[in-house]
Amino acid sequence: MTSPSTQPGSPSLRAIETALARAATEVPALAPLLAAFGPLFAARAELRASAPGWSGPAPALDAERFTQGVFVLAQMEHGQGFQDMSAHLAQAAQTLLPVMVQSFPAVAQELNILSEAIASGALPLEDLAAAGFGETVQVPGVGAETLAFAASELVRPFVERQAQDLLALVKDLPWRQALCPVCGNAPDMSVLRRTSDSSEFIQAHGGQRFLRCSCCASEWAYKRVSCPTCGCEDPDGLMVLRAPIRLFERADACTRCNTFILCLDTGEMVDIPDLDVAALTMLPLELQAKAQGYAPLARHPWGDL
Amino acid sequence: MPKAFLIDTTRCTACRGCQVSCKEWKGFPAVPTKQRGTHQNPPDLTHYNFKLVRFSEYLEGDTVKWYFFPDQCRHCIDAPCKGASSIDGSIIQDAATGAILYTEKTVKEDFETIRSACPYDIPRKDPKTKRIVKCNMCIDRVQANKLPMCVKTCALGAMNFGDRDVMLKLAAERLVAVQKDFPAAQLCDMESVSTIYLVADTPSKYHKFAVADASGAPGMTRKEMLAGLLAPLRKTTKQLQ
Amino acid sequence: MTNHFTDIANADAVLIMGSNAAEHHPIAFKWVLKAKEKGAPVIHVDPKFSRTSARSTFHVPLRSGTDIAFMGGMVKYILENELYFKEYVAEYTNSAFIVSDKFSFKDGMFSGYNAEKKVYDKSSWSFEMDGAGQVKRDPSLKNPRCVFQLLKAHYSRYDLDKVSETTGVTKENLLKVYKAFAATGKPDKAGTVLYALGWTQHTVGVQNIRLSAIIQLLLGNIGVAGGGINALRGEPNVQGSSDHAILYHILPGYHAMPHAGWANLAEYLKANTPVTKDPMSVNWWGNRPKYMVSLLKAWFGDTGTEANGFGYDWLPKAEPGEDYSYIFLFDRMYKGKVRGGFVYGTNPAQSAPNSHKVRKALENLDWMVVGELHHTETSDFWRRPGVDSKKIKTEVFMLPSAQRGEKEGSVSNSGRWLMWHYKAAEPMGQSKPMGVMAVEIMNAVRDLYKQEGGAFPEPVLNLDWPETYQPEEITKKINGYFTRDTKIGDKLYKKGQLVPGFPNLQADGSTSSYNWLYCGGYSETEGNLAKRRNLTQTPMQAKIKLFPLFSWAWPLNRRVLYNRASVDKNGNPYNPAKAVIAWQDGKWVGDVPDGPWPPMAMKGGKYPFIMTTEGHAQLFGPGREDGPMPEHYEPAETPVKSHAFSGQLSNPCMKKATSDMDLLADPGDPRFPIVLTTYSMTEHWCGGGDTRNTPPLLEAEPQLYVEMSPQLAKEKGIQNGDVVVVESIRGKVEAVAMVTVRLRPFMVQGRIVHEIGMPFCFGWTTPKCGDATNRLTSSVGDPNTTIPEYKASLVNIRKATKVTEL
Repeated sequence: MTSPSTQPGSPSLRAIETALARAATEVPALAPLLAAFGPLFAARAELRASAPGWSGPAPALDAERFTQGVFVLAQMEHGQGFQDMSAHLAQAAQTLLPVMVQSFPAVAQELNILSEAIASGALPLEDLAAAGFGETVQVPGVGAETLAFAASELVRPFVERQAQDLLALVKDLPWRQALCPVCGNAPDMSVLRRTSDSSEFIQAHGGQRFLRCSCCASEWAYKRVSCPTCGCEDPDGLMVLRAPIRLFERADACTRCNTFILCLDTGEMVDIPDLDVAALTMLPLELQAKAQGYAPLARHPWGDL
Repeated sequence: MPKAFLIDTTRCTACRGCQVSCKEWKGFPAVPTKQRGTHQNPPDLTHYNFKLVRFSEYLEGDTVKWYFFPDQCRHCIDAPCKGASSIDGSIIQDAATGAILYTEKTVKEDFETIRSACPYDIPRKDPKTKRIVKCNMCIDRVQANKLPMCVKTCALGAMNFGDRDVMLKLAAERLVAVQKDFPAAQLCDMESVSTIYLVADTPSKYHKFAVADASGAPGMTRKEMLAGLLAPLRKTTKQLQ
Repeated sequence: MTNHFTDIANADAVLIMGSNAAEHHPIAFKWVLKAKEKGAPVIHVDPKFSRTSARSTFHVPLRSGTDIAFMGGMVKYILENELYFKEYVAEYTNSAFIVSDKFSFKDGMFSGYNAEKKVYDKSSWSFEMDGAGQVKRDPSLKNPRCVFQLLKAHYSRYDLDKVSETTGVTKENLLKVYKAFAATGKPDKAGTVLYALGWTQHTVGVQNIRLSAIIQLLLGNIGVAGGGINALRGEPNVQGSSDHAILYHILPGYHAMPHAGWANLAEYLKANTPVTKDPMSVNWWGNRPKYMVSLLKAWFGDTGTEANGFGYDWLPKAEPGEDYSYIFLFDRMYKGKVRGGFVYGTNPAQSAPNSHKVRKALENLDWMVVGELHHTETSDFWRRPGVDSKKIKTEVFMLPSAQRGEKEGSVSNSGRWLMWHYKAAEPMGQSKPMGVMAVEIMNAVRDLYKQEGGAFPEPVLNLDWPETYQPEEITKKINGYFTRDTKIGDKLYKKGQLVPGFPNLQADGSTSSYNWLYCGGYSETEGNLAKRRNLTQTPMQAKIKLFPLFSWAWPLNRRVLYNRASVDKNGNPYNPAKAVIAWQDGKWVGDVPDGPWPPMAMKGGKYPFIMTTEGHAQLFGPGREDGPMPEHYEPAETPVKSHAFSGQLSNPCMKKATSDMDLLADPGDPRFPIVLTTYSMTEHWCGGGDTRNTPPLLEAEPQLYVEMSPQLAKEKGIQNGDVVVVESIRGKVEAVAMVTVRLRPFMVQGRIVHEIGMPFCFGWTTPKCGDATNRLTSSVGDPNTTIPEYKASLVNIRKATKVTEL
């Protein structure tokens, strides 16, 4: 299992920039979208790098239960979720919201109102955090969708950073589920990665498949030829949608349950792009999959554009 | 970011997947070969073989040593062949990757000059097109963010490719690991080339031209040529003619 | 394999003999290296230093055909240094059994030899029985007629001096190997043995493997994780084709081929169903009638009834004692006794021994059908160099075959895993999978019988034969169906339901199964288990990389055979850290145990070796043709005139074709002083029919070579790269000399014996690449299997003066 690591100027940030530049050249039609989300991804990555991780003692885990499919957060007392990050959200809003205002002019006004509500205390930070996890929160002058989008972007760097620490606790334990081993959410992206083997002999070329959590961006290895939704392993039931000129971008669809998950095949890539950027670049494929009647396991913020 | 290969010969089993896939990607036909008392075939690099696994073996005491060396262009950081060239644009260095590329203008180069300038004896001449040819780092693939074909094919982890700093780090790690069993292990000409070989024994046991100073050119070592000392002089001479 | 591929990683020592695993089984070798990483010594014993040797802890060169001497020395070392696993040997093997006093062994010969027929009467190789019909035993192992003492006496002759002068291995190297491998005799240690054709392709092939079994039993290495005797089978589905009997002497599921001496089913079953009076012995083959009848029901369906022996009466019967294997098939063909035949996916004119004879034999056919991808030396034998095509009468039909990737179906890997593979592309042009050809041709034959009648039509017309070839349907039939509503225990199975595992097969015709071993591989609820890729396992299973839900293994998804021998009599694992099974809270956990019964010491407990009649592993094995204990014999062609162990030079039972073209060099023949071994190579596949038609591979390995030591080259005045003529008493072959330090001269009986090696993949249909190496090898074979002795022939070499083949 791997997780993103970002320090300012780090390989991760560089990967975002490189991937954005490459995608803009290769798929010019996506340039506006890349220009909108790119700065957000970069700002989020920087925020994640400086965010606090899991604080206090590591949660006590029962390896046996984990192996049987009980994810990390579900093993905590009272089903407690990620640790409260609301104390950091004011600062995060000051960093992220201006970037979003620039990127998304259509909702700029709402975002500015939100910004003020946060700064003035009209929107308590605990409520903002709750909105980030899908609770309904009202802020006059800010549409529900805008609030949900902005709030989830604000909490995301903190969630991802905490997840890195939690994932490290279980990195050597087997996990065979299609849901996130840390927070139990569905994946919205997958990737085939070359894995290097310490033994000095033959290594597979196809790459190992990793699913990536839609909530906390944790990655975990998952069986390659299988549908993460219904478990179908019949090659006749599984199909790969892809464009002939971008064979490394695929939508792995299942004709049994009519779902799909995006997949980036990095098997023969020199530079492996940032996966948020990669997923965004695969928007045309995502739309194509939806048009053919397949539903995603989890949606992206841009998924309904 | 310049790119580099790390070729870890301690992991190579001479399956020759790299040798075959290289020519298949480039669409080269098989060249007629003969068995000459070695598995190494073709005997040397050709205009249709930019990659060749070289075999060597030694009996030391009671122990057989069998070495494999997947030979290819080193893509020198300061390439002597480029320095030796007399035509502008015949031998160029790709700014993004550091790949040394031979263009159609090499038709006008003096082949022997270019070949003898190479400390690793890599350049070959295509008798049909008259061009001087060699490994081009699969620049078409690399520009499309794809690994060079030999690296993609290698199932043993012998062929590695990526950003130079990443490869240097990997090289250093592997050297430490390999030196535990093979104290004489070393990285060949690491500072001056983009194709870095990790060998477990004296480089010359693998191949005459495994490292730059192994051969010795008259008057001047190939190592000195590699440093590019002659290049400005040669250019000037050419301009004066 | 008793074990399976991932299990090799559990070994504390790995002995590779008669295999070049790194080059020919590269994926398997990954697990060898995993074991090595954890500290296991990897020992490669082989005439040639190969890439396997390069990756091993050490390589020990050994003269071809002397493996029994080598291993006999190891048995002596283990016994005399008391390194064997005492409890295991005493309880689980037949070490305590008292052997009949009629049994004897004198000067290399066992009792009961019939010199005229060259076969043994095996009746004296038996055990003494008590009044209750049970084998007499001496648990103290002191009785001089008990198996343990006989074994000890037998191998006491295999001292270091004799073994060294026979094998050409130095005494230091012998001790190095013995010490490293015998260290696995401790209860919590395991050693694995990996072998391939380097062991089987000898006139003592089966006994090579028998002796490794004896070593593994003495060390307690059978049934445990990281142990076992593991044949590395090849990509041509050697495991699957053996299980499904593409062999003349057995039917699918390892039942003897019916012969004329067994006139009806009852006689057949009586002769082939062992009985025991020991209540603790499972004697699994006592179930044979259920499996045989189910097989017949699968073949003949409703037409097979009790009245006709479920169709047994229609089966072709062999002549008792006749050998129909490759060697003798071509011997009959050479003698004009075969009129036509089908050749699918094999190239005998290249791969069978004594190719000159095989090629000549093909000329006697009226017709031949070849199912192949490319023209081969077999399909084109009629236009081979040096023959006048006009004078050859044979009509040859070429059926273009689909490539592996162009068809779906199952492959059984060496670890007995049934693995489904999917079609990746449509067959090219008119080519078809072999299964399709077989079904279509047989249907056409059936139509002809229906229209025109013919002699004895029942076997053809009564077959339960499909209209079209459907791999999935065949897989179901292999598993087997209930042929009528059947109640087993209190469970009712409906007609047409798949049988859930071979314990449910019946001898009354109520079930069918093409192969009892695979019964359970296709489940009514879970479908085709060969397609299963589930990696889930319990922590106990994960410790030994068991992966029980990945594909399916015969029998009954058992991954480690004889696993009841991995626990003590109370069901506690000998090695708790790598437990295969354990008895916990009244049930077995871990792998599927060798039967559900409780541990041996408990009420209802059984002995662990359920496949032998007496329930004990056979240190003394009465079943083989050439002796109950392996004995060193020289190859049929040997560079020595005598050896240190007895006056019997070569295997007295070896199979030998006897035509005018089947010549053998005399022992120590001065005309042919050099030992030749043959092998495959990485770049070319088997006989090379596929890969010689792949230009980049031919570029890398273009021509036939002969590997030889620098010493031999110097002796013969040969330079590296010279074309030489390699000559045996049967033929001549041109090859390029590859002078290499990877082959070394052997010191045998105080003098130098040279060994050379050649690949067998080059044939004349590829111009100027050389021609069949097998023109040199001989039609002699192992008495149990008739596998030819490709690994040891006598030859001479000289520099060629004129080159025609290269």
